[in-house]
Amino acid sequence: MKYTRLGKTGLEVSRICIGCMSFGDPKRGNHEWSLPEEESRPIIRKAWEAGINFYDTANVYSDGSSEEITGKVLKELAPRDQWVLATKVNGRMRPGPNGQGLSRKAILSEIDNSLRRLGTDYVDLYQIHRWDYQVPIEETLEALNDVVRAGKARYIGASSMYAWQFAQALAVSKANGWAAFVSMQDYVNLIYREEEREMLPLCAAEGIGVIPWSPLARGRLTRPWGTQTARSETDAFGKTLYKDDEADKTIVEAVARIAATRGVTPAQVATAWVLQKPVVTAPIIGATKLSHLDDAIAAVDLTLTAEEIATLEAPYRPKAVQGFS
Amino acid sequence: MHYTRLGRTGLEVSRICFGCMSFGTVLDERPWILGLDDARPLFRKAWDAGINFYDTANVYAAGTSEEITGTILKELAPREQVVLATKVFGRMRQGPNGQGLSRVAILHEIDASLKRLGTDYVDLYQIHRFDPFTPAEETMEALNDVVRAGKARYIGASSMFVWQFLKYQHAAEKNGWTKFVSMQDQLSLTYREEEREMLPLCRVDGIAVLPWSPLGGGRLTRSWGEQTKRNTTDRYNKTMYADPNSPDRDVVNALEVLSKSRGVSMAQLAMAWVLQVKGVTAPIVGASIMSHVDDAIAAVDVKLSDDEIKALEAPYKSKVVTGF
Repeated sequence: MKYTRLGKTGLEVSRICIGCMSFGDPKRGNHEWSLPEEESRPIIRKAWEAGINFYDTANVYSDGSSEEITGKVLKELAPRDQWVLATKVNGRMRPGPNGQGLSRKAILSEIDNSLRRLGTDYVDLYQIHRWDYQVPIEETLEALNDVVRAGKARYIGASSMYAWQFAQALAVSKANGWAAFVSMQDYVNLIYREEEREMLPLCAAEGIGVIPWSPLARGRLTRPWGTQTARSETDAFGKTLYKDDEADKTIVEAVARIAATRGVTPAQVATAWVLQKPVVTAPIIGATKLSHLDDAIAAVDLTLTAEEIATLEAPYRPKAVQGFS
Repeated sequence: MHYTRLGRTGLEVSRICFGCMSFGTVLDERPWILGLDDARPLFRKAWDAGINFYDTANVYAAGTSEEITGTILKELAPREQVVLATKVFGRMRQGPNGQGLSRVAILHEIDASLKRLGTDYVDLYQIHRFDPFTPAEETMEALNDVVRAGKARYIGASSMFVWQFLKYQHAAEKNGWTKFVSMQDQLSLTYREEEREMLPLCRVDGIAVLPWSPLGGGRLTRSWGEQTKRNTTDRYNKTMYADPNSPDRDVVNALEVLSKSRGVSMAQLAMAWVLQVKGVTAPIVGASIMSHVDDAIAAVDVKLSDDEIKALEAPYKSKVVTGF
C-alpha cells in the first residue's frame, strides 16, 4: 500500500479509504444491501492486512449500526492510534427538533453519540455531511472548533457542497482562528466530473485533501452498460445520480476496452483514473465483496498513460450538479 | 426607465447598462465597430430614455472605445449624472507590465483610462478577469489605493471562477480594503452556467450582477441559422457559438415560438428573461444598431409569466464554461 498526507496536514493515510457505508444492519436504516457484522469482518480484516489504514463512516449510515460494526471490528484488528477513523454529522438521527443538522446543539450531541457507537475517545476526521442552509456557518464552525479543542476530533472536513460555500467556510475559520476544514469528500468519477470546474481547483489552491465518494459510479463503471444489480434496483439515492446518457455509455465502454488491453479489471482502470488526479488523497471504496478490495488495492499500482487518460476523458459532457443540493 | 441600487451599495443605476464595446476606431478584427459619428445617436437615444449606466474597458478597440464614450457622454450630461464603468487587465502594450493586475499595471492603467475618458474618476473600476500571476493581496491593495485616491468610486470584478472571486474578497476583507461590489459575468438563455455557483454567491453577499452577452451574442434575437456580419467575422464570437448541432437551437426555437404568440421581439423576451433573474442588476446591452437600444429599453417593461419562463428554460443543457 502507498501512503500520502491528507492535504497539507501531517496525517498519513493510505491511498485507499474504506467506505463503511457498506457495513450495517440491513434491518436498520434504508440500506437493504448493507453487510451485517459477520460479513463485514472479513472485508475490514483484508483491507487492514493490505495496509489500508483509512476508514470512513457516518452517523446516519444504517441508523448508526455502520459506526458500531466499524468501531468494533477495527478494535479487534489493531491499537487505536494505528487507524485513521472518519465519521460525519448532519443527517437526521431522530425525529423532532434538533434531531439533525449542524447547529451547535446537534453537533455537540452527535459527536458524543458517534464516539459511543464507535467505542473510541476520538475520531481522526469529523466531517460535515453536506451544507446546512438553516444554520449560520459561524455557529457550525465554532462548534466544530470546540469538538477539536475538547480532543474529540483530530481534524475536521466537509463533503459535497458548492465551492462558494466551502470557500466562505474556510475564510470564516481563518478569520476566527478556529480549526479549519482540511478535507473535501465530494463526488468524482469518470461519468461525473463537475467538481473539476470549481471545487478541485479550490482544493488544490488551498491544500485541501480530496477523498472522492462513488469513484466507480456505484459500480456502473465496472460492468457492461445497463446491467442491473440488487443495489441498482433498490438504492433510492443511487437512482437520483445516474440516468441514461449516451456519453456515459461511451465512457463505460472505453473503460472496458482499456481494461481488456491492459489485462486488468474495469474497476482498476476507473479507480486508477481517480487516483491519478494530483489533488486526490484517496478515493472512498465501498466494498461488499473481497474482490472489490483486490481491485482497489491493485489500482494503487496501476499507472495510466496520458493517451489512456485522454481516451477515458474525451467523451464526457457537462451535466447538472448531482449528489447534493 | 427603472432604476435600482448597484447590489448592496447606494449607487443608483438604470436597469440597462449601455455596453460601449461596439464603439471605437474601426479595426480589421472588429469590422462591426462604430466610430464617433455613428455612435453619437445611439448614446443620445440611450441617455434620452433614462439609461445612466455606461460600461467600457481599456482594451476595447485599443482605448478608442473609452475616448468615444468619454467624448459623447460629456456632450450629453454633467459628469455626476452619469455612472461610468471601465476595466483593467487586458494587454495595452507589448512587453513586461503591459497587462495584468499588478500594482504597477493598475496604477498606470487607471490614469491612462481617465485621460482617454476625459474625467477625474470612474464610478466603477472593474478587473477584466482573474490574474493567476499576481497575488490577490497586491491587486486588492492597489485597487483600494485607486479608490482612496478618488479615482474610482467603487470596484467590481468580471467573469472568473467563484473561488477566485472569493480569494480577492477575503484578501480585501482581512485587510480592511474596499471589496468588489459587482460581478460582470456571462448570462443568457443559452449560457446559464453562472446559476450553479456565482449567482447564488452574489445573492448571498449582495454583489450586483451585470450580465454580459445577455442576448447570446445576438443568437437570441433571430431565428436559428440566420447570419450576421459579427457572427461570421468576429473570431471570439465564432468560437462561442460555433457548434451547428448546439442544444442552443432548441432554446432559440422556444424563444421564437413565444415571440410569435406574444407579438414581442425575441430580443425583448431574451432580455426580459435576464432582467427577471434574481440578483441581476442590469444586463450590458451592446448597442450597435438603433433597434437594439429600442429593444433593450422596451424589455425593462416586459413581464414574463412563470409558465413562459419555464418554457424558455426547459431546453437548456449544462455546458462547458466559456468566456474566461
